[in-house]
Amino acid sequence: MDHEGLLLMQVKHGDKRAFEPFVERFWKPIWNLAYRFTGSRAESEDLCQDIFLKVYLNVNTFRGEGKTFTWLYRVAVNTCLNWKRKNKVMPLLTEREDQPSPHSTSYEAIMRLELQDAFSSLSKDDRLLLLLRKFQGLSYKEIGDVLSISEKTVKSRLHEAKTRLASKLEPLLETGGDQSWIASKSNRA
Amino acid sequence: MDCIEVQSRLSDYAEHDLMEREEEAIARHLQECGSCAKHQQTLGTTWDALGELPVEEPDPFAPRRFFARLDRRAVVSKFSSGLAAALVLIVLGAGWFMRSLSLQETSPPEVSVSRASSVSPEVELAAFGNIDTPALDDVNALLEENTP
Repeated sequence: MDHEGLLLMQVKHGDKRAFEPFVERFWKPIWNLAYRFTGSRAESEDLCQDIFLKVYLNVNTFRGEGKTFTWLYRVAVNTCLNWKRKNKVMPLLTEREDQPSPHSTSYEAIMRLELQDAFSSLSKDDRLLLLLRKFQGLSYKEIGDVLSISEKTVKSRLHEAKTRLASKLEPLLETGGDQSWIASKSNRA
Repeated sequence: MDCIEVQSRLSDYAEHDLMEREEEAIARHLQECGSCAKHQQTLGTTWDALGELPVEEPDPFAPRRFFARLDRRAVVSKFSSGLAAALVLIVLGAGWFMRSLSLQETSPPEVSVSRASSVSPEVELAAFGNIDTPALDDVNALLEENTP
């Protein structure tokens, strides 16, 4: 059993103090997952708190089999899937700046905004798959363990999610940084 | 490899997650097929752009806030348990009290036992409600007959 698993076992057997190093160890990656999923700092903290609270309340179901982070990510993914937005803000990869910066008229800035919009329009399942792979760096097998699906299914679904995301960005990529197109889009940045 | 087969493996190709022979076959196909090459470029650029998004850091005090919430929850939980236990006791106590009251109000067997000793029959029988005088007289007569 890994070190994090031992910590959870201690919590399970009544040593509540062991939960503190566990949370400290995983807060950042789980917050990042929540932040990329919600696109809001405030909501990602709420979501992150809910995830760790669920871990704490369901620690009795932890058996210490397999990797601990797989169990944690399973809780995190389920919480994300059941999460309901409190504010009517579209889910984004990152929080948008309120004021357009001087750089927001660049192709990269517009690309980022378009990417955020495209990502937010994907389903929760697609978003989670992409996040687990791209930002959490999980292998196909690990994603399969988290989502309780086969490695082959992960590959296939991930490919579909990537294709859906890419097809939304295709019009932008086709311009290849054309200045007139950038000028037409820069007002929304 | 045909276009459908190549396009279904472009994700793995972009992540170098293919056997060497497969990767070479796809690379050859992409050199010859403009449509697949364009598809691969869109997919690759999107995937790379995702990775170039700015990295955000969580608030370093956020875990502290979480533990504070957890502590509050534990306190509330203990308080709730105590409150629930107190409520159960109150309900049980009230039930017992009401039952004992109700027994006092409707206890005819005790009336007949104590009647012969100290309390007057009129007072005791009044516990049954309004009783007509003739009936009470009959009872009194019966008592007199049975008194030694």
